[in-house]
Amino acid sequence: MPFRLPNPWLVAAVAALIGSLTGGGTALLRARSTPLRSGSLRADSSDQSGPRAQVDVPETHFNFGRVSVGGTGSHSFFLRNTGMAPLVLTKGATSCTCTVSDFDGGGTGDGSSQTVPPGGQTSVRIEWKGKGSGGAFRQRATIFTNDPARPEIAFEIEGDVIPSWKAVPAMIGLSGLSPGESTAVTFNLYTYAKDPPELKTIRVSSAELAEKISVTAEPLSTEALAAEPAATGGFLVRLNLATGLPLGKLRTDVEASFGFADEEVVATIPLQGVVTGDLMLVGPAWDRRSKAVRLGTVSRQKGMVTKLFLTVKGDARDQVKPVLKEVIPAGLHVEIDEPASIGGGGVVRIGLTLSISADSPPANNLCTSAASGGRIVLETGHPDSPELSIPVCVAIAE
Amino acid sequence: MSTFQPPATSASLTMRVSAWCKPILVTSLLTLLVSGATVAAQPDRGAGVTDEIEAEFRKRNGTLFAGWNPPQAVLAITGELDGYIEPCGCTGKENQKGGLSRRQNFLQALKAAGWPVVAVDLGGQVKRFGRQAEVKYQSIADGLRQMNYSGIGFGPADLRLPAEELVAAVASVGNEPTPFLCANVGLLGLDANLTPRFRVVEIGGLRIGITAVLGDRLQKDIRNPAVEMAPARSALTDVANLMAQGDCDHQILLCWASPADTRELAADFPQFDIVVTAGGGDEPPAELPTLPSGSRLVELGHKGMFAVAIGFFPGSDKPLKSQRVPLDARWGEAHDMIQLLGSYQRQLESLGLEGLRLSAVRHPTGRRFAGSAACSECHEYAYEVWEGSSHAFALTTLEEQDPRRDSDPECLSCHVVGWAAQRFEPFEGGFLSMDKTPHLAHNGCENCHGPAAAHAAVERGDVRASATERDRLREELVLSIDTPEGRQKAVNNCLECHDLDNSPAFDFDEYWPAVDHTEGAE
Repeated sequence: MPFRLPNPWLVAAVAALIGSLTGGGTALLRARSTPLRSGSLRADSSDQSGPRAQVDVPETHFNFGRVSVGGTGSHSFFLRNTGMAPLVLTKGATSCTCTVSDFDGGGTGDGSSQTVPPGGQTSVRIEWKGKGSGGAFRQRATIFTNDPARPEIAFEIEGDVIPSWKAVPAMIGLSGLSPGESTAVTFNLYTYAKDPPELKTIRVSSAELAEKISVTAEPLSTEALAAEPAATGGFLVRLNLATGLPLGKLRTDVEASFGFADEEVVATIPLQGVVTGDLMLVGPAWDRRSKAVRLGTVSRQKGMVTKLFLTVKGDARDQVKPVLKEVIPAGLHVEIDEPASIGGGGVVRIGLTLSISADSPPANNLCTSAASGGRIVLETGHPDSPELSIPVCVAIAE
Repeated sequence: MSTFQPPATSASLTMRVSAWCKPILVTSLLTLLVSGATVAAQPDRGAGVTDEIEAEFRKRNGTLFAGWNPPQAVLAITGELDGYIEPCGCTGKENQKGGLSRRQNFLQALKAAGWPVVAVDLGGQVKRFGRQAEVKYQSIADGLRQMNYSGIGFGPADLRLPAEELVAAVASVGNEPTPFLCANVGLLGLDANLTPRFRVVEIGGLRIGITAVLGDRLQKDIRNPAVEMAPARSALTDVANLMAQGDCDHQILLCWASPADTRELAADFPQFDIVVTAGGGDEPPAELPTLPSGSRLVELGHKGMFAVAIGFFPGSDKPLKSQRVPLDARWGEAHDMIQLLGSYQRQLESLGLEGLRLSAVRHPTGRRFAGSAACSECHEYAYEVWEGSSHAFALTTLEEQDPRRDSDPECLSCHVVGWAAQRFEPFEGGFLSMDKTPHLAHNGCENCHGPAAAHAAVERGDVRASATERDRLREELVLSIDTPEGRQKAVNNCLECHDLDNSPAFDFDEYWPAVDHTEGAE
């Protein structure tokens, strides 16, 4: 009998069917043998047929309102077995050890599990402790069950942890301080005790900086208090930084000593800042480390446009109207924008548009040992810095 | 009916072979499709993470994406990193959540599962001020770019950084547009256009509009004259009108304000169906609340420990599904982020304390440090207990991290002698480096008892002192837990380093026995 080749399409269809069955069967086998792999977590992964436990949880979320730092609280959540088989509950993780859970009656064995008969009920008690420096609090505790429809239940508690005091902002950070201009700063210091606070002293902790930074405090207005929930009192603190601050880092604290009926508190609020010169260059191409504009090698056929900003602060800021005096290489075009006032007028911004185009002659000013750097020289109009030379590292290639 | 015959000519062989090509090709394609569907499983872990680790952390921190079919697209939302570029690892990194490395692996897992991803960040990359915060901000910005974020807002602490640092970190790089955006904040002025006010991205066939605002109440706390801010409501009105013309399927508002202020603002702009707020609890809630307008409100928790994923399922009975994602050890570590962290640590090392603008401050007592070895000359039992505790190799644990962190002031402050733990700066006479001050390595006696150089000098006879002076120096260093005041003082000392951020499980009564060096207790 002559051998007849089967129809290729029939062979392909059978091969696809066998392959799919094999692959699907393998996946199913893996899923069954490693139930955790499929994403379901069961306290008991035995046979699913027959009577089953069924957990009913009327409440999984509780808001405890307010608790003081160091204070504690607890709440019980109830679990009912509305199924036909024992409900096995196992304690899972809590998201923070400031939250613990215990079964009603302590649970069985080491207390990590409890079995609830059909129709029965139990509870799990979540306790928490107010830790940290205060604020909104939300944590969870997980209980695992052998209810296949609900293998894990997350109980969530939330509330507010109330400190004895809080500064807003928590630290004072001041960028762009000018040695030639004074700066006024305020912040709120809130208290949360039953009684209003009585201010004893308030000072800048650095004796050296205290000569340049004055500090006063007055009780917070009703409006300011209303903006902070739970606050019962506090102070509006005013700082005035005088002129003549040394260039560089500024670091000290504001220390406020105040008392309540039965408590004395010393609040320390960090005060940090940076005092810099009045003229500063900023921009994507400005390299802060080498203090130069770094443009790399630019093809004049492709061209390039980038922006550099000169920011000016201090009492001479309105006098600064830069004029271009020199540009090296000559192929680097510079356009100067009109000064624009920002930050409520405290800073003037002057944009410099740097461009290279097809008509730029080739040049090598890459700031290497073989090629000296270029520069943009501006006459600024600033009384202390009348001329500004900006190093530029660029090569203009074909 | 076909009969088999040996191929007589090459032409007939070619014809028979070509008759099978199509079926083979179709079968192969079908196989690939089926296997692809099997392999593209749920994004439940990072690449290379074992079943055991995934199961352990699923048990600890919950199951992810249960019952999810692949969404048309997924929005991955992060924010409030608060400077936690990496979990500190003090209590074992596997016990902590967060960090850019796990975040990257989470995003990669979503992509590996075939889910089109758009990532957005609320802002709040740093919490502190100073040179280290500036360097960190740049590193984090680089990391977020590498993760291809489509929208990143600003938190108040970010905007307090000096303008030149902000601009350098935020500005476009080459032809790549910057991912940073904000409707009402402009670096160097709103008209400087260094960052856009909004963006529309197309992903998975969906158009998603993204914008960010900084709440009005927080603006007055940002004293940076180079940052211009506008009232949130008016800025958002302009942007909302522009975004409405963008034919967006979804609109996202990243709102750095308190939850209450965010709700108030969102009520006036119901077009934003997903609103992300700052503040709120330590962790995101299990379910996203729905605002009266129908918008979903997203809280992220703090310290970047969680991400929130929102899946889009247009046409289904649940067109939006959400999942809070703990960034725990099931995500593993991303090599590129570990390299970024290494680069950050190397920058800190090369800057040194001087480059980081950290100068020693006077200890409140005015005293100087001697080092724990000096204490061992008389206090043998106490020293022996200390030597057997983790405190005695605290600096080593930083050296052994990958990348090592022994040049990081935020870590050093609790791992050596003579630093202000919560201020991340050295006291005068405190640890500087292993080269200069090896005797002050690790968390030693004087961090709790106070600087003891004068006491040690008197006891050795290096310095002459009256009996009264000698006794005074001894008394100043005594710490006793026998009285409530003494115990509280000791607890407060411990909490300087064992704070909620770094030692969330700390309980004095549980921890004390491991370091109890009470004389006579041996």
